[in-house]
Amino acid sequence: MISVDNLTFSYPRTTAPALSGIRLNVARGSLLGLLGPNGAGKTTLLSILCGLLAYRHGSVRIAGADLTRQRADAQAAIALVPQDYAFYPTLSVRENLRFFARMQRLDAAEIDARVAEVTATTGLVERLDERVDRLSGGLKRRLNMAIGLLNRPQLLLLDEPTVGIDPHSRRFILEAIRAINRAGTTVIYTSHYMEEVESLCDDIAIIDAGKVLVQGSLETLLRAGEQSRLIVDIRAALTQEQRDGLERTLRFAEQPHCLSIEINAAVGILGVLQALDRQRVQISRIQYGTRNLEELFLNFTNHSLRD
Amino acid sequence: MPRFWYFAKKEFRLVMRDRHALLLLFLMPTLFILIMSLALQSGFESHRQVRIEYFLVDQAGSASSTELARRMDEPGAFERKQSDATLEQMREAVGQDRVKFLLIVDPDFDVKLADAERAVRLEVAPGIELPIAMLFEARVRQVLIGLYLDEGLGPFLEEGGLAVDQETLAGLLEADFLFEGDAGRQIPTSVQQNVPAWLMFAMFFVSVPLSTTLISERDNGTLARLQTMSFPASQLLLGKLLPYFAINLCQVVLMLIVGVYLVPALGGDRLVLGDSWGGLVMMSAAASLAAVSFGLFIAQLVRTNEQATILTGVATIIMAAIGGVMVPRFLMPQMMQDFSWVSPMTWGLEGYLDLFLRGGSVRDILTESGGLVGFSCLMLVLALVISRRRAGY
Repeated sequence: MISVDNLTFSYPRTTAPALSGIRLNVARGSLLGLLGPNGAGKTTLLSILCGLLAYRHGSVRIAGADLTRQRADAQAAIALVPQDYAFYPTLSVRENLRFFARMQRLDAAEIDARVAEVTATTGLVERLDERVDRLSGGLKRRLNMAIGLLNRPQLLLLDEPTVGIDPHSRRFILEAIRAINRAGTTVIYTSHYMEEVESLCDDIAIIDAGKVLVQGSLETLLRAGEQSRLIVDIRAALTQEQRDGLERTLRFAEQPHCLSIEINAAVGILGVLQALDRQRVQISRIQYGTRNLEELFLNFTNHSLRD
Repeated sequence: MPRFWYFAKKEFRLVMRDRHALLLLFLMPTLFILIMSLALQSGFESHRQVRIEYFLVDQAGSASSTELARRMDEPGAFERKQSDATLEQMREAVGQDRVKFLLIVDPDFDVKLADAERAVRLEVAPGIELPIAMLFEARVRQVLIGLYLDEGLGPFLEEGGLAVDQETLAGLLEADFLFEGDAGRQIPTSVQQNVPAWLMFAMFFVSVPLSTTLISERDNGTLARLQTMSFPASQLLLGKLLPYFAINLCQVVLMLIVGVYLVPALGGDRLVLGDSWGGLVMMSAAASLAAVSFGLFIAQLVRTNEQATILTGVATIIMAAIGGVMVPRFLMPQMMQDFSWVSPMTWGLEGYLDLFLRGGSVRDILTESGGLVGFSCLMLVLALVISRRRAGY
């Protein structure tokens, strides 16, 4: 669906490129989580993908169309749902949808059907004639997404679609995204909520300093290399005596209230637990098997997503 | 239907739902016109009663020509301006309306007076009211005929019992009206000045809501969303231009109604619209185009709503101050009158005054409306260039 090769982009009057040699392939029908700290280049990449920024180096193909030479074709396959409420607050839900449908070059005959379709998907049927500035934040987010669905896009770019809304609306939006993806739409989803990405996406790409650090199946990435560590959350920091005692039998890294302990042939899980018990370490949680997305992200970028 | 049409409809709907913008665009100029027209009425009338200056160049230097100057100096509405300037400098001053008349006494004045030939040439400034020009011309004729009868052939004719031929005496004076057409420029009444002046001001004030809505669309990502729908910048500008153009025309109609009906109902003068409806439509269209294009340019130039509000507000007020909205141009010193042409409001205001005051037609406002259309083209091109540069295309 998307093929990005060696994409490099710099903003005018800046020295460091915002994107540097980006390679990214997104299969048709997939749901990709695009992660990166602030300033990593996510928004720049999304802006290029939907034709808002012109690039000079590299190539981008969307639904088979070259973005430089066939921009209108590529854009016809895409819809962007920006983070901001990109609609007109003094118009009603229906007026907004009809206006953007016109901008998508839909025929008059098609418009009512599409408006009915997207309001059903986003749960806005009852709100069609309400002025948008009188809607709650959650309903505004749904309208933002509904506008993005008007052209039945092959590729939907969602930029933080659940920011600042209540849990009920968030759940509704995530369900809607799953349904849209199941219906065959390729989705690229950016969010600061790791648990959302972890629960929603099949694939992830982590981007930092204008480069794609890793891309692949979420499950594979979370499992990779993590069978040999035990993550132990502790209630109190280790005393020097406890630390010396553990170091006699274990290899571990210590962080505040957390130990990452290596498991090997000589010391299995049971041996680790026995060593912790001997030193009377106060344990609050033990984690084994896979890391979570936050840890994966930290591992690649060396900083938290919310930094 | 092209997409800019739907964009324009949407824009119109947004403005109609913005009460503050409507108050700004319609109520503010209405109040300005009412207050200024009524408050300044006596001030304008007193200005219309000022004495009118003229030059007299005596190239004959004879006793008769000196007598002519003396008789012209007799008290009245006209006052001879003493000056050491050359004839060319005087002509220039009259051509620029600084002095209203120039009387040139022929070197052979005595002979020509006796022969009832052209003894004096009168040049009339372009900015003078036609009745006043005719009054002055009549006064000069009266003095010339008096001199002819007293000192020329008159006494001999009368001695011989012959009548004075009035048509022959008409040739004593050659009058040259420097203005085109059959009417000169006049000093406007309060309502004639204030209606077009505050109308121009209000028309340019559309740049405030126009620029702030465009910047809001840019800030909240709506423009980016439209760009992803392959909606070109040129159609966007057109879609913005049309509704505000229509709003400007509504302002024109409302302000003219205020001038024609409301101001006189409250005791002021009635606005006379002139005879050229085509000229009125052309002038209004050109002024509106200039105002909306200016707003689009500002909207593309600035980055925030605060910048847009301040820049459009300040620029509009400065253009109004320079352009004779706040202080009528005829009260400004010549240097400021010349400088005022940098403001598009001057072009608009003078165009309207040509129509309302000087009986002008479409032909008479071609320069002013052409200037405004040229200004609009410049603003639109700059807006389009900035818009494309922002998008990186």
